[in-house]
Amino acid sequence: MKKKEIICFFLIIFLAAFLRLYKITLNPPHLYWDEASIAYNAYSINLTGKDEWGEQLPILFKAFGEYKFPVYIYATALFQKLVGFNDLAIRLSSALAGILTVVMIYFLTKQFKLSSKIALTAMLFLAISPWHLQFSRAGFEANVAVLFLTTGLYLFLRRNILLSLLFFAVSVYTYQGVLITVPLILAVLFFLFRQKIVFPLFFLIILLLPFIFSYFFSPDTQTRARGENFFHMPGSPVANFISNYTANFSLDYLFFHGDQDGRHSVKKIGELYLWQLPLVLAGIYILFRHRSKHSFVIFSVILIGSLPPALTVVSPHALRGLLAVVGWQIVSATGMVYLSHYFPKKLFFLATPILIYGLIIYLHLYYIHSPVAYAADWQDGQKQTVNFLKTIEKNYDKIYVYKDLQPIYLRLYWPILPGTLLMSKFIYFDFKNIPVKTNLAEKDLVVLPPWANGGSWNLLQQIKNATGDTVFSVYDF
Amino acid sequence: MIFDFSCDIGHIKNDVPHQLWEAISADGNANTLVTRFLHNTPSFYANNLLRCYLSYLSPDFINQTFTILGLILFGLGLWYLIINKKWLILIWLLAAPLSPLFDIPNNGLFQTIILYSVLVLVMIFGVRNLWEFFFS
Repeated sequence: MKKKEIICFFLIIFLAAFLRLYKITLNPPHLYWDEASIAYNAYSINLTGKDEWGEQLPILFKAFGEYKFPVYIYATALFQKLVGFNDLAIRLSSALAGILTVVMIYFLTKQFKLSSKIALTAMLFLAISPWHLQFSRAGFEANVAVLFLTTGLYLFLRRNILLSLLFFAVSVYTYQGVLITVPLILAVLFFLFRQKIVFPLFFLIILLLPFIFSYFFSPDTQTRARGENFFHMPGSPVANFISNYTANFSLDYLFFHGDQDGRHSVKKIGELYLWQLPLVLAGIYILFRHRSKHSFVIFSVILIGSLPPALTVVSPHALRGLLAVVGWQIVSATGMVYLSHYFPKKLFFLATPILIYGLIIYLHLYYIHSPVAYAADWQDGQKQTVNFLKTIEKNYDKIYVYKDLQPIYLRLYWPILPGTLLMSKFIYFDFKNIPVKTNLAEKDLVVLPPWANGGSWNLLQQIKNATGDTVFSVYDF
Repeated sequence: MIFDFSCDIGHIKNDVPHQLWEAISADGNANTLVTRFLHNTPSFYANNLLRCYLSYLSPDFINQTFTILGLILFGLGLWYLIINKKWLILIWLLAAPLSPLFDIPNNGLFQTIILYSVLVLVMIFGVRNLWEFFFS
């Protein structure tokens, strides 16, 4: 690589690292319940070697009953040993995976026989991509899976078949959606590049044996897959599958509104920047015009990567289809470099302000609008409630907690030792059994939801989330 | 066939003030220069107009109206038209979704016929592409 390229390479990595790590514990404002469960299981592994339900070094973690995949939890356990038991440890794995994916997309693009310029542009696009940033800044397993898939793909194209299969196997242990993606991608790769298939397939199955035994031979581990697949939608399954699949290519989803879940996007701009639309079209044109095995692999990354959302009830889905972002950035980088040959150099300087303007809009929406608007989606307020209870709990005998304060946050932030029950001090109630004082000598606390009237009870504190809504009100009586 | 398009200039004119209000109030007490730079009426209008324009050329709209076969044929036909440089049809394709964006009275049937005709025409070129691929 030339010296200028090396400087650009490291500058883009630095930009990617900055965008992913800046105030990572403050925005998104709170750990959502999946992250809390991962953090608690990792804490449990560190302390006892067992998960929160008492299983010794499990391959599938029972958690809430939906059986989480192991790689992210063991990685978080490692980071908890390094940076301590705090919010950063749970999000650090995803951020580092995001930064490493930016590095891998450079090498992957070079491996597709595209120029260094295209590779650096693809790196830059991925580094500032709203789709990728959203999931690199919180504990999403799919982000780590994308890193392993990208690395596996790169190694396969370098003909290190066994090492690439190792990475594909690790990605299967990371995220559920990969179960569909890996066989299809491997089928495409083995077919296109005419590799010997018998021994590598045998090797892959050996690597996946522990997973196969845990996942397919126990009835509960597939509850998530069984419960959310597209056969539950009304109407013809084939039509549903096809409309789910094409919804991931809808221009409104990609360029204007994005995924409408509060944790998955800022909802006001699309998954790709609007200025990437002409680049994507140009990239598709040029990759089709000069077809090769490599361009076929790039398109199959997009097409196969968009397949997992099509098989579920919710489509389009930015998280399950996260592998496609790698393909889209390579295509738009190809389009950008191709179009740059048709424009004079002076006009090309117009590109930089447009790029920066798009990035400023995204950052403004992400740092100013999004934590305020979507704080409830991140369960904001639960940590503050538990911390407040921790400061005053010594003075009280019983703490009545409304069912909306999820036990995982209580266990995580108190912290309660894994494997033990909640202390008898805590009594969960719902509106069917409102707490009444049995022993008049006691002083008790009640944590009420915001719509409940405390009546004659004495209000101590209203816990608000970043939106300004009251999440819980704490009374004593 | 739908004669009453969901994304047209009347809906946009109703919607943009709401979007602007939402964006400005979410900004709160931020610097007014930043707010005016980022959340201004022209850019919101441009964004909505472009969104509506592209929604009639988007894969999920074509799948909804012409099913997946139509989508595949549309893709093939578009490729054929670009390769063989049939500019008139491409201009028609790019101009057809413009009609909902103008305030034309009694325009439902007019819009529908123009848009659906050009989409079907592109699909017919897709069939021609397939024919030429297999039979010559």
